[in-house]
Amino acid sequence: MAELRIENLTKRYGGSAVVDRVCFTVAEGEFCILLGPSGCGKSTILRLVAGLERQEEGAIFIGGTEVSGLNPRDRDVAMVFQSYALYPHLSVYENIAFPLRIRKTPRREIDRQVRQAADLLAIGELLDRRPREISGGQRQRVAIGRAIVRNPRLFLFDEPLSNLDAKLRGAMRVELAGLHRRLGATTLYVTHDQVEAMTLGQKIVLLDKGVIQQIGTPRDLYDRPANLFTASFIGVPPINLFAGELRQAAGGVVVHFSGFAVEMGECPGLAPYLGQGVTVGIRPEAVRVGAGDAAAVLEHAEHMGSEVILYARVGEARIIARAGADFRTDLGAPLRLSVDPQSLHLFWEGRRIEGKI
Amino acid sequence: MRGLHRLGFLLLVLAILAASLFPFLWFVLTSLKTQVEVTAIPPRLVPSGSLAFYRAALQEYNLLHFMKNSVIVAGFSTLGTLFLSLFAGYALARLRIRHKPLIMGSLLLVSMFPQISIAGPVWRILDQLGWLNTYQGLIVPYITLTLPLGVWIMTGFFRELPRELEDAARVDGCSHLQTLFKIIVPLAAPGVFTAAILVFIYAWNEFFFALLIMTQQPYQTLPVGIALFQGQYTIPWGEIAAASTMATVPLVLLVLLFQRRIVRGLSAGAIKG
Repeated sequence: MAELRIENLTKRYGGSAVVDRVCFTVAEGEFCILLGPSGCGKSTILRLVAGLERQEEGAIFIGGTEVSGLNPRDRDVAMVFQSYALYPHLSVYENIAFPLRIRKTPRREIDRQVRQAADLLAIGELLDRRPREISGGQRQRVAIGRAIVRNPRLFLFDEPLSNLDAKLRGAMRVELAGLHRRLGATTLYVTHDQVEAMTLGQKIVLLDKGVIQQIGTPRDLYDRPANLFTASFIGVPPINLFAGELRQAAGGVVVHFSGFAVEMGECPGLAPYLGQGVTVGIRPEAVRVGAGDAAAVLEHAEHMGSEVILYARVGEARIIARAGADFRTDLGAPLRLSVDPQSLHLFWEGRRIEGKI
Repeated sequence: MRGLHRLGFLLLVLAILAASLFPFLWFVLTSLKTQVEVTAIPPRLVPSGSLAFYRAALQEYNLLHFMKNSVIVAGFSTLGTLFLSLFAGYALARLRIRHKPLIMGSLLLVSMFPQISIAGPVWRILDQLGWLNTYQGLIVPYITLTLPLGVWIMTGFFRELPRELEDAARVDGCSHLQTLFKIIVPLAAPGVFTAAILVFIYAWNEFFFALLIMTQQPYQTLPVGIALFQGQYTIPWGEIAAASTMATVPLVLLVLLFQRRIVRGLSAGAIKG
């Protein structure tokens, strides 16, 4: 296992940078997620690390060694592909054994390693089958088996769960997390699915248009989004965003937006933004339903079983709120809403305003 | 109505089969006749099953000698063409090469020249090299002539294979060559066999260049050898028929054998899912 360090990585296709001066580090044994919408460059970064593509600028260090000039085979990384990329003409056993055979591992050692990996992944009965004879979830396990059998310095996953149905995806997520706890392998995992990112990752690197938007733990990204992109990308249902304004009142700073007036108290950190247009972000669970001075009209309610997602209209804007499962109100009925000042996210020119409290 | 449709379809297929198989059937029947039966009027449809012509073709006309030459020439032509088109096809299917359509187009163009238009230059080149009446004198032109076909077939098959498999192989530790031979070629097996069969059939049956280049008996191939069975005044129909049958049977066997591989290869092509 080794640390992965990426410095100033840039990759261009036809003049436009798909990966733009990206820097981050994955500590030894850490599970790091590259998250972002499709086309944000996350898969390209993975391919650059694997050596399947070459960068225009920047450096990639694995275990302290610069690997940019090396072929994929000399980087000692293993990769699990979105389509699994199992070799269709080889049995499950031979698929898992393939990286060892290429490295001329002794036959007995290969057998031991393959059976060990198969046991770990519970695919011992499938070893004689061909990839086309097993299910999608089983193929996924075989692909993981092929990756772990070599004991590489670094694991790369390219959207490995996106071809599975939702139920299986949840189960595989739990298994992957367990596998990582057991192997303690340095892992770089690409996904566009924020649920995967939030549940699997120890660290998330959020990308948009080839540029890093924020690096942090899942909690960091959710609780303290550094900019509007992070705020709106992370969270289901999404964060409510309103155009607002900061005004000085007797008791301190007041944030006005869409029928709300939230008193922030004395906030010296907000002084520079007084009288300026800001963007106000509120997570749906931070909206309190039932009391307060903002009047809203309920437009739609989704009963999820454990909670109810409310879509309401406040002034010109729409707001999403979470309510308990016992929430009962007719559509079109008036609602009273309020917001806790602690839970407000304020953004100025797209960036988070720090030090508001 | 459906029954009628089926019947019509069946009749049509039978008619086509009969038309294309008739000459073959005729010389197989002829080969099993006796000398008297061959020239009998009216012609006898059912031969007496004599193997005299086969014996004659093998012993008097030295058929096995021509067959050996054909095996050598067709075999090496096939190997050569396959070897070159594997690499060329892989490169054309995968690498970012400029003017790829132009390259593919000119390959096709080359294969369109009528043989007679290149016969003269080819003969002169071979004469200069001292390759007339040598195996390579026929093998090299055959490779040249069948290469476009081979490259087109291989490029087509390689293109169909998912790139992720190659990426996986490279991350798993393969060099480019290992990727080609351990992953790509086995998966493109149907293409490889298709190309092999077509090239082999071409080289096995080719008559014009063989006649032009191989003027001495020791190097002549089957088609030329059989054609030269006839003397100035005699045409040994029976022996020619027997020899032709023996020349065709290996080809039919080969095709049947490879066809099974092709079908199996195609069904193994299920890669994603």
